[in-house]
Amino acid sequence: MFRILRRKTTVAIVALFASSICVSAQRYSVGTNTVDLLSLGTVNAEASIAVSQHYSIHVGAEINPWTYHNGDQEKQVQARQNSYWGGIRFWPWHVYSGWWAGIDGRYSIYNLGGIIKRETEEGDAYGGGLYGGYSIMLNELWNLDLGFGVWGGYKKYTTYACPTCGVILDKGEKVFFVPDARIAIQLIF
Amino acid sequence: MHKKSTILLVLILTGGFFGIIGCGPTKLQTVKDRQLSASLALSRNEIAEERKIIEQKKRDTIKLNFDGTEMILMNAIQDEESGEMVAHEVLNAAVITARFRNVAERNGKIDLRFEVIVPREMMDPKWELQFYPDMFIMEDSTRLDPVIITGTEFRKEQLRGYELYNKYLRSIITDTTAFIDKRNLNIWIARNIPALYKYHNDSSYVDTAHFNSLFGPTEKEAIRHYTSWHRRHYHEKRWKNRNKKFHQLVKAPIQTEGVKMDTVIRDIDSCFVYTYTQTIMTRPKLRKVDIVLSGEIFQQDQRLYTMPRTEPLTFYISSLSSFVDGTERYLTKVLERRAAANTACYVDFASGKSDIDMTLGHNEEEMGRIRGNILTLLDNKEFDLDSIIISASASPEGTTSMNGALASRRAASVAKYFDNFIKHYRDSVQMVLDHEARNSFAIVLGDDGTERAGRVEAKKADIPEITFRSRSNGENWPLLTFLVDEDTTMTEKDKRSFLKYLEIPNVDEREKKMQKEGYYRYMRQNLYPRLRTVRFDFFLARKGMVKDTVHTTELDTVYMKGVELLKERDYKGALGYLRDYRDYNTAIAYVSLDYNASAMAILQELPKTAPVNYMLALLYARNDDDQKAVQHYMEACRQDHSYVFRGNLDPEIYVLIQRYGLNKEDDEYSDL
Repeated sequence: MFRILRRKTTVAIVALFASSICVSAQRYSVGTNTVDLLSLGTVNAEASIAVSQHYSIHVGAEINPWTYHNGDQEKQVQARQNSYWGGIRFWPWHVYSGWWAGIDGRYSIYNLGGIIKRETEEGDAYGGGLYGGYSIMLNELWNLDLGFGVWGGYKKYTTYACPTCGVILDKGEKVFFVPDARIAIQLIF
Repeated sequence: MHKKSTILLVLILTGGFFGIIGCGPTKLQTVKDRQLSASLALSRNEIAEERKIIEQKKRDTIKLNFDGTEMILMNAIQDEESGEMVAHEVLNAAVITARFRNVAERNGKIDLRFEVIVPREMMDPKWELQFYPDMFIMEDSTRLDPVIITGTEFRKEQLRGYELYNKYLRSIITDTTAFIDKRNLNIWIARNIPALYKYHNDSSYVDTAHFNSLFGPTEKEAIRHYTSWHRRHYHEKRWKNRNKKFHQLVKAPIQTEGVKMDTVIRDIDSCFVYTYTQTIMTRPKLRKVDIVLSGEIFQQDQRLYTMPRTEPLTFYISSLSSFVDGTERYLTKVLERRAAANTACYVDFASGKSDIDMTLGHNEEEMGRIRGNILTLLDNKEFDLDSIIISASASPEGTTSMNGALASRRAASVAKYFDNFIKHYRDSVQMVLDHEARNSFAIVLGDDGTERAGRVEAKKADIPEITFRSRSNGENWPLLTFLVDEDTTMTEKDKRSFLKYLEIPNVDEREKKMQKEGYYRYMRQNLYPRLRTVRFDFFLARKGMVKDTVHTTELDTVYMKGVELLKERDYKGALGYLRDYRDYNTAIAYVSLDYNASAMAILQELPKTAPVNYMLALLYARNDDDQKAVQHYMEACRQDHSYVFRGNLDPEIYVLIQRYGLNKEDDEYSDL
């Protein structure tokens, strides 16, 4: 008798929980930056969680394992990298709607070469970025997230004469700044 | 070749330019130089209409009967050469340019009709002319509603201003929800307050205040956020500035209120004439009304020219209230020297007794009331209490002779009581007077010429000797009959039976037989005591009057109030007071209100004095009976020469004078 009752209560609680999920507010996002995707197919993803009306926490990663040479090693092009970041965004009105400003910390291991000139750089970069942007709500589920910023920090690098050869031109550590643009498609749920 | 055409073009342009600006000032200059002005004239329509009435009946001869002598009256003029009077043929005058006109006040109202004539030279498509008639009545002046004449281009410009203003108004968004970005608001609500979003598609009413988003903001805050505030402020500012904008865009607004007429003139090839009609209420002593016209020319908001004021046009107001006979009217009042007052009181006596027992019934109260009455009458300033007759009546039980004697004794007893009361009252008044005299001293001049203090002679109390007469009224059968009739306890059968007993002539026998009836007991217990009444008749004489009757006269204030209202031209009010008098003034009120038949009925019965004849002439003229009208008018003029001139003031008579050429001789006298 009691057992049946307990079971019923459990079912009721589960049902209530389920329904609350159904109608609960959307506070998570996952998305990918098309600018990165277009820059030699850098696969990337970013996930976030809203923690209050004005703040959300973001983590993301991007991987580019590709080397492009089309059979001609003289014309090899690559922007290989593994990057990871985590940051926080401030939303003056409300998370996932309208203007935002963000900061994050980044780590990147990279090998870039053959894009503009034959010199190729390889290294590790540590640093952080400052971003600002605007999030357009496309519909209930999708956002178009626009942003622009600068990330910079400190890097340990090695410069080679070309993407494929081992001739070291330079080696060292230095401060750097890189502009970064963002046109991301986000799923809000 | 190319250069030539350019020069030509420049010439055309400059020529056109000078043409445009050259034309305007020239016309204005003309107006200014010649001091052009609109003019005022009497309404020509009306004059023509009057003329038509005069001409309509071309009877210029009329037969009259004066004191038995038949006369033939015809319109005639003096022949310039021979000096003889010859029959006159009516010739139409070309223009009548009189500066004054007689108008009659009828029913408390006066219609003023005049023409505003605007010369062609004053009008221009680019101009608007505003004319202001000023009306002067006694000391007051009133500006009448203006007449506005608008040129086509002027109006086009005005309408263009309105069009621009309407465009401005249309561009203003006044719906505040229009500034909400609804698409984003809905997405935001769907994401953050999904419960509320569900209800949005539901028709049931939901109080949205209960729904919060996960992080706090409500729908209200979201609405505020998704409202475009700068757009909203922009439109609010435009709305606030609309009046300023109106004046900017519409420099000369079209007047819609307080304007007699606003017309747009299309073809300016003749002068413009407007017939202005103004109805005014009459007021006492109103004799004439002057109308003066002034005006201005505008080009949009710019005043170009102010017209000089015209000469006044005068309307002389004739009113029938000047015929009012203001003679005072008196009422005759007859004063009697003698006056009487009476009252009844119910004094209870013990059965068969005649002495007054104050402890019985309401005796104390009743006697007190009578004492009060007597004291009031003694103090009366106008009358002296002369004598009091006290008559007592008895109830029917017992024999008539005994009852008669008993009533007589009871009356005497009451008379004695009040005689004593008055004597006692006089003594007490005297005592007060004596006391006052004893306590005051006077300086008395002795025989030897010395002065000494002396006593003041006491005044005598001013209480007259009052004669009391007592009388017996015997058994009061009439009152008993009345009481039975009025009684509600006795049945109809009882009452019929009682009436039957009344037929028995011997009252003792009647009373005895009635004792057998069932209702007798009730009657004796309840009605009999009320038969034992004592009636007081007070006889009074007017102080200081010797003759028995005097006739005096008193101003008839009701009538005079009516006359007053008639003079003030409140005819309806006057008639309220005067209707029943049916005299000359009543007739004046009827004539003024156009109740012609009622007026006629009264006037025909009155002696034919000059004013009565004049009024009759007026009434016959209204009824189109010219013969009688002229006869009465001529008679009135014969009796009183002033009616010769008065006739010109009343349109009814004026038409007669014109139609039959009356009063020609008088005109000649006045010319000489």
